[in-house]
Amino acid sequence: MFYYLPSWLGDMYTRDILILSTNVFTFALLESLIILGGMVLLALLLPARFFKDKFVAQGGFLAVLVSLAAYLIHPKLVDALPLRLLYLVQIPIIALAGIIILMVLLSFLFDRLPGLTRVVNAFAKGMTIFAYIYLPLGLLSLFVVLLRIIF
Amino acid sequence: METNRKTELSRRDFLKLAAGLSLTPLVEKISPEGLRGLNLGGLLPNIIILIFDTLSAYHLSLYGYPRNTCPNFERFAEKANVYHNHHSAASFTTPSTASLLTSTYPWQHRAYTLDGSIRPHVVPNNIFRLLREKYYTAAFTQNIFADKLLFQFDQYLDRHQASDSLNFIGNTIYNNLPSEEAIAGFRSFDRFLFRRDTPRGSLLMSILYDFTFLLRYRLAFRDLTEIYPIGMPGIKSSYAHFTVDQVMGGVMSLLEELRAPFFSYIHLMPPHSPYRPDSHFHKMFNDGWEPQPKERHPLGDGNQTNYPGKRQTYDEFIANIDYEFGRLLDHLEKIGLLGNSYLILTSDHGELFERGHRGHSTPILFEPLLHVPLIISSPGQEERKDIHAQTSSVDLLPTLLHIAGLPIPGPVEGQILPLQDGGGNPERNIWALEASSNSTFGPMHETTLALIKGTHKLVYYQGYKNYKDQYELYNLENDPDELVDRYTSDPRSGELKEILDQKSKEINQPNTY
Repeated sequence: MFYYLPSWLGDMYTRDILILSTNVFTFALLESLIILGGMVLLALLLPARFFKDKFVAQGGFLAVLVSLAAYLIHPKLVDALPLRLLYLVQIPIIALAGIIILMVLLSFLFDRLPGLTRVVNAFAKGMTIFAYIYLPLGLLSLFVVLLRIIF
Repeated sequence: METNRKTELSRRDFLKLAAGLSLTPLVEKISPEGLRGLNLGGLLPNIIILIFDTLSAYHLSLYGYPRNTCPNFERFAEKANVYHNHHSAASFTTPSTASLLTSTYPWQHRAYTLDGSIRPHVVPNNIFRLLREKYYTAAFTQNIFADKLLFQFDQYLDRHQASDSLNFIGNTIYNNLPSEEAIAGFRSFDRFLFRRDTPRGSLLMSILYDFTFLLRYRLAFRDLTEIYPIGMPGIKSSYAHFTVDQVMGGVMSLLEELRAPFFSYIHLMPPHSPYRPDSHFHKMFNDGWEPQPKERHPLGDGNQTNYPGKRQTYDEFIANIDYEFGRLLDHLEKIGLLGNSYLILTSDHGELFERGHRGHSTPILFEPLLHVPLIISSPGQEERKDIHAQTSSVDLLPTLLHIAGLPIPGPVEGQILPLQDGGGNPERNIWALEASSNSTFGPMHETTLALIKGTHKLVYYQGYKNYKDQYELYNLENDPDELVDRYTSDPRSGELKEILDQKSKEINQPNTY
């Protein structure tokens, strides 16, 4: 958002920027909940020792890795347009398999390196400060969006 | 004296009332709402504005281009007024469309950035509101930036067709929202969270969105690879793809459905990039021809090595849409609409393949970018008229009001188009402005301002880091390719500079922003 903010300030009235922000924060909240839901589902499906037992550490690590991968993939997606249908269909299957394998590997890694678990947990604890800002902002935005829809 | 008035309804009165009730269906017709669009004995002809995005007059054989790009435009021109020196007010869609629809130059409407909006005080000055008194108003555009402007006029549109309604594949998100939320939805979803280029707001869901589009595109395009050998035409800032024949078929249907007399604004994407002519037109201009090379401009931002290939494909795309226009023309004639309509063919801006820039949205305002076609056929017109006066896209609105017999409001900056050659003021000032790097809420620091007056064109580059406060002057009559800058030698330099400097000061006064 900060990347576009200067051009928004040059183009839009404050009211328009606020409306845009409420839409964006509401969507961000919903997106986060969907991703969290996906991770919870994965934790329930996999044997407990592969994910559920170290949910915070592994889940946090997974969230960071997946976000980094998404950030790197974004500019390349347009290049995927000429890919044949057969290859495109394989991509989500490969991605899901990759995440499952990654979870299993991470569980071994965290078992062997308890220090890593402590570091990741400490980092996650530190990041909760953002949750105190992000969650109320998201909920407030959701409330505003619902009000705009209803009225 | 009668003191007790009869209050009960008699049988006779009741029967009279019952007879009157049968007339109530007519009330809807004679209400103000019903009068609009009611064919008042066919007195008013329809008005159809048809815009092809990014169509440069420079690339049309009608205007002397060596490649035969538009035989159907030429056929249309045989019974129409052809304006040979018509100019857009800006170098890309948002400001040029805003100028066309409000008859104000970009410094007035302030929508001179890509995502810009027309100032609230200018919005009522729009072509739809002003014609609505006598016309049923309808609009359709494939261009999502022009569509955003149309949503600013939504309350004045009887029919606003969704921009993605004629797409083969790919939808916008904002078109699925209520119209009062469309602009906010456009900004939030289509231009931020799910925008096609990066960086984008949604990190993870947008990948899922992209992926489902890729799958659908692959499935849909399987049967079209032979028809579109270099890919299906699409809309650059979105996932939309379309086939030109399908779009034109949709336009034909739309025009048939409108209630006469109607005013319709139809703005189609071709030949905007990506240039994707179908197989009938692909490689039709593989002739090796190239125009005279021109020196790179200091503000040109690309290399020029791929221009011949791109120019060829652009010309082929024009030939493709010209063919489809021919189909539209035949159809309108067949259903009788051509005979009772003004049909106006024009463009929002042109396209450059020279001076170090390919495309539009550039500060270098040369003629292939600003010079756009304007061909207007009137009902029953049987002869061609060629008009060489300098005209501007801001002239369309006052001209249409004049046709409709409606008053022209004060804030309008255009003039009524001349109907004969030699008509109009040969020395009027025509303007174009490029200011996309500036805030719309403050003074403009980095701009290109072009003044076209008579046969001369003075361009002022203000504030650019590598080309600061420079003037260029061209004689468009003797040097239509703008090869020789005559700023230091032409006797008219001083006079034109004074007019331009005065305007430059005027448009940067605090009361303008």
